[in-house]
Amino acid sequence: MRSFHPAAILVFFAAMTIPSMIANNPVYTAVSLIGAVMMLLLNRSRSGIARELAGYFVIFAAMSLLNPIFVHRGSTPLLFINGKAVTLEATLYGICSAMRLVTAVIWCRSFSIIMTSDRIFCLTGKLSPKISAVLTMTVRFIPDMIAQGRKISSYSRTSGKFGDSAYDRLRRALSVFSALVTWSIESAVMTADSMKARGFELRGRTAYSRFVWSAEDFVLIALSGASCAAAVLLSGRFNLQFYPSLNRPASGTAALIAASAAAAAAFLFPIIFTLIIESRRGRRNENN
Amino acid sequence: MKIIEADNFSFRYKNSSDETLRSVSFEASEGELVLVCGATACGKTTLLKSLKPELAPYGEKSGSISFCGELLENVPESVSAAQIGYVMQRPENQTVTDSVRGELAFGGESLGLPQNTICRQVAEAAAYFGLEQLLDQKTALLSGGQRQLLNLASVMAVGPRLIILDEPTAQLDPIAAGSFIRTLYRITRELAVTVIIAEHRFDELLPLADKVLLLEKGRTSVFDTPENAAEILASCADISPSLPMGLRIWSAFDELAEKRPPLTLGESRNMLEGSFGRSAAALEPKQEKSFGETAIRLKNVYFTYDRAKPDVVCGASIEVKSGEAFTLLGSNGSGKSTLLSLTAGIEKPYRGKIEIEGRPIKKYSDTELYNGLLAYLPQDVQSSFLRDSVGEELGFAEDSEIYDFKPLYDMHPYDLSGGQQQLLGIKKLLMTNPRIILLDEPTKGLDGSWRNVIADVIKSLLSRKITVFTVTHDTELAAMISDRCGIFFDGVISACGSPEELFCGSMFYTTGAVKASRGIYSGICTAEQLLEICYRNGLKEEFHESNA
Repeated sequence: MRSFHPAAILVFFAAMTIPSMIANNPVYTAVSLIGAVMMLLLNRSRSGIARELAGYFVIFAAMSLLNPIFVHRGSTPLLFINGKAVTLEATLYGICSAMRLVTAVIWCRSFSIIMTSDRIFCLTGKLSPKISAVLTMTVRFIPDMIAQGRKISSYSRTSGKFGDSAYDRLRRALSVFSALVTWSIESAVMTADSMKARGFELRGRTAYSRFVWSAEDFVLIALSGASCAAAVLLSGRFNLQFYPSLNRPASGTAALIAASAAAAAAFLFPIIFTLIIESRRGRRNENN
Repeated sequence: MKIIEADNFSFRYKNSSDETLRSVSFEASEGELVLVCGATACGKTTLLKSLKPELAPYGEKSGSISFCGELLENVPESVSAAQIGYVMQRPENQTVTDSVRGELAFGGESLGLPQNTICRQVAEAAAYFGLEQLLDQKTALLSGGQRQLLNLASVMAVGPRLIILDEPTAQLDPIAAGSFIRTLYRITRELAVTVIIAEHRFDELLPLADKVLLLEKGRTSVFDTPENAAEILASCADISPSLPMGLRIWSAFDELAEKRPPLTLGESRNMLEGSFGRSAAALEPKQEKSFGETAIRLKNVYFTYDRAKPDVVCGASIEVKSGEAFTLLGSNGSGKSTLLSLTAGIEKPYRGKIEIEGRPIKKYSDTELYNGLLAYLPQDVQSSFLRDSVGEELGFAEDSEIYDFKPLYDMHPYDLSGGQQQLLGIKKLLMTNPRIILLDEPTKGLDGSWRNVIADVIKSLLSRKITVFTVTHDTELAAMISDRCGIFFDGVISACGSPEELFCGSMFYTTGAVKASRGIYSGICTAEQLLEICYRNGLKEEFHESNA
């Protein structure tokens, strides 16, 4: 995934995430979930991955349980709690919507891993090099500011000027904050000097990025667009209706299955395409 | 070809009655390294900024500055942005972007260069300055030395002919500073880039510089080769404590004036060996001082910031007696500052004991600990300034102990000089009347004369029976103030002993006086001691004869 142009990456993830959130069809969502998990496994470092997946499962479980507990719509009661019905429809809806949510979260997580700041700046740089420069400055400044805030805060504790009471703690927090603001202004002035010295005020700024377009990028964009379009076009046919009872769509069961399969297949193309390229990555090292 | 030439340049700030620069003249040709020196507030920064049109201060100017034969006012902006580079003191504030690659490309982007050109510039600069491994690194994660090297590399990426540097190594440790200076020298010799640098690391720079420009109160005192400028440099009270050891001895003995001033360590040793007697090989040992109870006790202390990483402190133990000056040396990133913040109660060890005056530090409340018992000065002294004026910081106290800050009460602490900031920090510590003071790198970025001032202040604290625990990589300071020194390495404190024991036995971790006198005299580790033994031994007879 990392070898694609940032614009192609953006289109791909948009085409994966948005239909997954909108389409209300368990087959489609399951396909998307499998794709999302595979993408995450390929792009995330190994450490702590089990814990992260377990976390997603907890969110999934909690969401699927909450819906039938609080929503009592539906026509097929399974059991009664405190006189309220827990319905089959609400349970299924809970499971489906929880799966949709988790799928979207996992897609976004992969996106945030792959879309590093230099990729984002490559995209913003196309719009306006100046805005891109300001964004990268902000991103650079935040960790420095956090570090400085920690330093000031730990010193202020030892300064002996603030006691242990709640009022003193508030007073301390305020003076740390004001010192941090002063420091920020001071260092921003110096950064501004450094930028001026390097010609930031000249006209005609360009944006450098090391990402280049290739045929694969266009293929990926085309596939992603097609899969997204397929999902949107077929959504009328394959969206399931849960309440008041699980209903077959007007077009009939066969049409539903056909639409689901078509959407899922269209959806799979860009995933398979990126997975093929991704799985080739680093293979040469194994052979040699 | 003359790259830069200042001709009788004078400058006055708008609201100031005095001229900051008065008829300064100097020039630098291609590939020359010019060292600009002078005391605090002598106009160094004003001069350097005046050479860079984008940063030139506003005010009244006379005389002229020209770049490559063209008056600076007439140099097009795109030319001055690309061809005159400027690097300042604080490495972290000069990095503009969040990644190393972006930083290297920033100059080319500003100049509006096409992709291919910028790509080549980034590649070349990364290769030349050894930054290839760091290209994907976030700038916030770089060390100070790496960050300053990146600042230099990103200025160099656009192919400048002149680089101006204003105390670029002030925030770096000695090792990083030395390698930075050698890189600068390399670009003057290999790429014929002209370098103008204001610095006080004379040990490293004097042997490398082509010219020295000494400013005194905005005037040129001397502009000449280091050899010819040596005498005037040594006679300037603010400069001489920063000079290499050999040069200071050379200037202390009038009889040596006819000899070539020693600029390198080898020359200094030759001079000591060739010109001075050896009848007194050592000074009398210092009187053993007696100290009180144990003030600080660390026993088998373990600490780490990140469970996934190795321990920063692993099994460190030390005892510091009341009234003692203990100094812990160690390289940057060795964890010595961490050890100090453990001792200050800011961080907590996961294993081991820390006791202050015999009681575990955990048992103290913040109020008990930090009001009259222990005081801590962080490495970045600016992070200790919480108020907007010097007066507020000191509660408008009337005394002038340590330093008379009264005339500066209206100033913002950030506007003080580096040395004054340190003194303000120390003076603030004394407001709680502590019995133990912890200092982290109190001479960072300061020149030799300020180091002497700080050392005197620390000695005055010791005379008041205050326990002083310092961590530093400034071996000269350690030799001047300590009763006992230790080296922090590999998570433990080792090699504790008197400064003489520690420094005279070390090959690298040692002071200028030891390096100059090793094998000639023994037990010498400060400049004072070396001068003393030179006076005692006197010059060899041939000098007296030839002068008679």
